[in-house]
Amino acid sequence: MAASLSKPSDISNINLNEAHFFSLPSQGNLYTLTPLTDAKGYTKLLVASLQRKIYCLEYSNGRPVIREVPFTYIPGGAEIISIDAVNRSVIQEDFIVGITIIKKDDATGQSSCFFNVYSDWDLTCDSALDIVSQNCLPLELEFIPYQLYHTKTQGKSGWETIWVLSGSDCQIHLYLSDEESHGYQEIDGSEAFPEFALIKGITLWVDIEYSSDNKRRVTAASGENGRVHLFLVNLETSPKVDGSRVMEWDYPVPSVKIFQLISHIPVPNALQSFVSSVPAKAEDKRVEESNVVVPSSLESCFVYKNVFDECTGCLLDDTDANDVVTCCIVCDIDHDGQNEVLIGTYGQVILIFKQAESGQWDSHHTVTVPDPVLSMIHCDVMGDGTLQLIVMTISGIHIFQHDPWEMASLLLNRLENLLDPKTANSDIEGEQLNGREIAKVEMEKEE
Amino acid sequence: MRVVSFVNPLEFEFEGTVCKNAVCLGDIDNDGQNELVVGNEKGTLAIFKGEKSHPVEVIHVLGMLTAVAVGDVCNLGHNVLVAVTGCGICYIYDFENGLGGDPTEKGDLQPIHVQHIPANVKDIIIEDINGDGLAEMVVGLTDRVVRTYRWMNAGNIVGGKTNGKLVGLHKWELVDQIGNISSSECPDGTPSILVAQPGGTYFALKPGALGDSDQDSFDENMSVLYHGLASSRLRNPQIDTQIVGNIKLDFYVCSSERSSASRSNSISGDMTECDFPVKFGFGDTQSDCSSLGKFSVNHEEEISSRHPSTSNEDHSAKVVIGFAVATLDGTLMLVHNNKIQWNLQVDHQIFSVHALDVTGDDREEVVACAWDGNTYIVCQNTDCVRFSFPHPVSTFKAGRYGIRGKQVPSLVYVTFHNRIYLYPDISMPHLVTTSVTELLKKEPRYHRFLDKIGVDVTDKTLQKEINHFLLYGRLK
Repeated sequence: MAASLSKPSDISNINLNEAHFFSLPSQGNLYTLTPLTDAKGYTKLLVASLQRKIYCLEYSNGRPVIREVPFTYIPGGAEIISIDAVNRSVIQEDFIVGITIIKKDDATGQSSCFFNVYSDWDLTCDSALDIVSQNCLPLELEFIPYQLYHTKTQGKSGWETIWVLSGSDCQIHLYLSDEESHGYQEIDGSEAFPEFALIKGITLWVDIEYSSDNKRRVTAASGENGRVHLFLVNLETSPKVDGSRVMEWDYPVPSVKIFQLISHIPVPNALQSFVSSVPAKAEDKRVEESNVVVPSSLESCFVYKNVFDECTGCLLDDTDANDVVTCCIVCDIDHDGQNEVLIGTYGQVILIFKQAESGQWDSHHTVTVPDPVLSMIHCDVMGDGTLQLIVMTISGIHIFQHDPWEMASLLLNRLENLLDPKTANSDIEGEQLNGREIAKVEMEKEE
Repeated sequence: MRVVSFVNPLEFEFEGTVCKNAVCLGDIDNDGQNELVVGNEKGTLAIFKGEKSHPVEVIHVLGMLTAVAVGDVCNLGHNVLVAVTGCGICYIYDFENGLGGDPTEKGDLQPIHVQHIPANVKDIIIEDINGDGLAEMVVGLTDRVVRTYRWMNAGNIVGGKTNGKLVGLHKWELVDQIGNISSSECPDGTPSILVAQPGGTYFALKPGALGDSDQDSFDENMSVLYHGLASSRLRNPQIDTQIVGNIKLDFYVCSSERSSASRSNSISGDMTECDFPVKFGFGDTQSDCSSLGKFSVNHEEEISSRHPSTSNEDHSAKVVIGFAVATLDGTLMLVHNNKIQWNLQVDHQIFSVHALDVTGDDREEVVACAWDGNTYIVCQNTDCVRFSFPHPVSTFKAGRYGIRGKQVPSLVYVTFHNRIYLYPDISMPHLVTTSVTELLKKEPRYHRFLDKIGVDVTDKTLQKEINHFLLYGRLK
């Protein structure tokens, strides 16, 4: 169906089927798709289209539902630039949604920009999205907003969520909630985020990754001028830039992503006794081993290993052959425990790259969509534990699902291996498992 | 309703207006691979093959092409191409020398036969309609007439080419405008011609066996049956109607286990003879895969049970045949045993309906297309998938097309801007989507494992966490 005809399907075990497609009345952009996960771990998607409409996409009772969310304070004629959403609470639904808009004044011809923050301050009840959408706090901006991003920062009362907004004035602005005035205000970031002062040019994309002990963070920012800034920030006392690296390209870099080759997922309590604990050593090196994928819009994309150390780059083949590269994500799309790099292009293809034994990133698979790709997310909207690939194209949202029959059998086999490996070994079915899995089984046999 | 998008259409350039039935998918060069044949109102006939964006063969005829069909109308043992113009000139082409022709040969390919038949032909089918093993040609005319023709051989002439003519067999004059014609098998196994009539109704014409020259027995064998269907409920009694017959809905399977499964799934409680098992397909797939651990094995079993003809030589009455009726006001109905099994209302004007096996289980789905490009693929238990073709559609065909040595289910859209889009290989494993949670719920092994690790079966959130960890976490 949507999988490309040009690649034989048997070379990869990525069996992605399009589960659903939502068409949007007007197109979005690189910044208008955001996931929102509630306290129970169920994810919905917020999608903004250029012409004021914001949709919430979720699965209820196994069926996809899309509805318009009536966010207030988005005046007629305004256009949405970016949207971001986060759940501040881990025990209940305490959503905050940020939306940046640009509005052209018909009379004067001047455009004004706003940053609207939607949240519910009454924490006595669960604030559903509909209630949140009615509580708006608009902030007028002096610049044209670009990407809206959120991260955490050490505030007076512990970790707080902070908005990061890049602007046309070549600055990165920070907004923090103010408990006293029950509002949001721009704060001076020189203390909390000293790295932002070192960035030159308009920033198109910011990515911030904290180490698991929250003592370090890596900040990456890619710019319209083709510059990619990478900072290693030490947070042990006050934030201090420990290391930095600048890469330069001839063309704008639309996105940047910091990633680890292996994602860490906490072991569920029920399985604790069956899974040997992850060695602590790997945990420590988490930030130092930062890899960065840099998708340059008109040139080839690169993956850099250990950016603050040897920083070896690897070219991703043919990434300049499919029109402008618009976005990238890093996720484990073939369920082998190792992350793959996905590059979305305006040329209607998503290129999937996988690291080979040699360390080289090879083209693994290609997914073709009928329209240019704007944004991608790998998240669990269906709520069954598997992740779906969500692709926003200029015409709408595609949900690609891994074949559920295959996933269920893979899951059962892994569960069987984990719970009683002895019986599992006897009736293992090789063709259902990938190479890694077979190797694992063989190791167990040797033991 | 699930919405999908198909990608990588083949784009063919073809100028001119194409009549609704002047497009056809068929194997005209007899290589086992279907080609696309299109004719326009200027008399240009183009044949597209494989991935080539230009026609491999172009033929110019006199007059506006209104209907084309591929079949063994001359009973030569291989397919020929029949093209009929609005003024009733019937051209028959034989591509026994392959497509593309000899470049030294000048001009167009010459037809092996040209004959004038009554004008105003709008639809044409080539089928064996009287059960004699030989194909006949059935034409539907805009002036409410259905005629059948048979090829009479007059011996071979020099050059080994066949010589003969089409001889009229039957003529029916109907009360109302003909939507289209289709052939279908009656429950007793005899063939019939279905003629769509306005308002979601149809005629079933049975030519009967062509016996001796006795005129009385000939008339006796013939029958004409009018079926009102849901005409009383339809919004517009004069609405244009399309019909497609011979939809392979299901197979009767010999194994007792299987038939009991379909019986238990049947909605209509009373099991009369040849009753229609309404709920099957997807439901069966699930019940068959009770053990996901032996999934691939079960799959094979299922496939073999879906091919009763290969496992069992007895072909008789193994296939459940139905037909679908669609009206321009957006009603799509599946009919079996003259009963409406389901009907689907859409807000788009359905003008074309076909049967095509999209899921690869040998059961055919109903594919209906509306003028605005919305295409519905509906399986027997009403699971429906929509595809929105982005342009208005002048005419539509669903069928199999040969590409890279394979016959794949394809959708053909002829647009109003001199382009034909063919979506090759639209096959999808299932029409409905499901989640891993739903599949594991039916899995006793999974329940055993959950028991072992002390997780409550009803605790969805915890199960989700475990599933997620098993798929993405570090197991070692």
